Amino acid sequence: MRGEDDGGAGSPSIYIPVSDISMVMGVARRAVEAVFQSLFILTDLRVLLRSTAPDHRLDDAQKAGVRDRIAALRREVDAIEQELLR
Amino acid sequence: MRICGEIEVRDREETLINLDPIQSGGRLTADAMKAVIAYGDGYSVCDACGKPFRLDHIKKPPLDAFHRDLATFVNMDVARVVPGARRGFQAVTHTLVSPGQPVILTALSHYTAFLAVESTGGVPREIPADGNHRITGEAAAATLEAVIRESGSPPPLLMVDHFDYQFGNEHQVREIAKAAGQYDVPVLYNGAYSVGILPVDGKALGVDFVVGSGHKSMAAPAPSGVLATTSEYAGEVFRTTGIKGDLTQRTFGIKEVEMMGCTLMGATVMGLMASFPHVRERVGRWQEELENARRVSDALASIEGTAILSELPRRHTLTRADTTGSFDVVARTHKKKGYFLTSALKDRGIGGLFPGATRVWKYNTYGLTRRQAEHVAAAFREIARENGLTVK
Repeated sequence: MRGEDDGGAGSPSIYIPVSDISMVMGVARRAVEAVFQSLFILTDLRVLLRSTAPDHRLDDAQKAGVRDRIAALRREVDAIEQELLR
Repeated sequence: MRICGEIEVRDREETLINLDPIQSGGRLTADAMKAVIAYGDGYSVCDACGKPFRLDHIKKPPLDAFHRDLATFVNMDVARVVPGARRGFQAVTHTLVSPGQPVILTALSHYTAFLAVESTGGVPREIPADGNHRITGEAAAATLEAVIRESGSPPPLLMVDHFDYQFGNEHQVREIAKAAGQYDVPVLYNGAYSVGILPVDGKALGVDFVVGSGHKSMAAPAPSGVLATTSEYAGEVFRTTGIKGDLTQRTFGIKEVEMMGCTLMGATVMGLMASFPHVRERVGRWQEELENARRVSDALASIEGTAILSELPRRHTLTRADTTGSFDVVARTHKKKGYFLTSALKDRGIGGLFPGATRVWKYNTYGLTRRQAEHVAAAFREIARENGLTVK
């Protein structure tokens, strides 16, 4: 039965007509990429936390890198919002 | 902060400078973390596995090329990924050692080398360390001669660490391999503390097997590692299955017996592979790592009553210190007793030492930035002064 193996998320069983799948996959593709990109950007920030521990005092180049990554992260989160909530 | 249930987030690396002696070389690179995110599912590398259905033949992701690159990296002919160095030892002992046969180890060998011998019914014979806790070629030759005299034939294997886990001292691998070569005794090089953090050339060292640890020194998740060998021994240690089911007549293709078929099928091998370009590059920066190690060992040595038990100057980032005459003296009257040192270090953002240790303890500075190493060195001096110890 659909919905039982959903990782515990409890989402309901949904039937998607074959004709709609290509459209859904196109949307999902962008959302999936945005989720991975977001995780990767956050991972870069995590590694920065490691290399600057324990005081996390950043130099100018590191701060610039953080700004770039946060901007990129916002774009990815926007894409997730657009693709999944439209 | 919890992931779920009772599982807490591990943020030691993000919040502290971690000096844990076994954790430093296995810290993941950003690319390895990303690989773990994407390949965390069980058999995730098997999406495009086709005939002949073996890990080292998979082209997408490019595990086939990665295996070749690993062999080249340590200058051997053939390599396989294994679930930790210990499984590399075991594959070799299972191949070469029969019950009752003596196997040469050293007085500083890791316990897993002993277990690998035990699992075959072999008998360990240790090469003694000298007064400086080093294993020399001369001592290896003497042990080999004694074993041959007693047993009447050369032992089937000699296993030696390049750098041992107790002192982080460098041992005379080339000279030991030369001594073993005089009796045609194959040599297994344990590179758990070298492969992935400093340059290793198996053929130049004259060894027959190179074993490395992914989670100890190759910035990879546990359990992971590498077993590399020469063309001469590859056919033996990586021999393929010949067994057949008596009822079903099933056979099992080209699965390798000692590897138990495929070894690392998901996040472990992908983490190892994603870190590999960085690992290949970082071994060239070993001298910088040693400079950081020396900054910290110099700071400790400057505290009156402290001795560095590892060889000096440091040739590895893993170091054993004796603070019985310094920090342990403070601990006797401090209200926090032996925990004062780890507590004082934690106050300064430093962790990873055995809690309560103030006598003999180990630390590892591998992977620290220069700024972090200077912070650690300054912290030890400061804690000593604050507690009335003399700093030279």
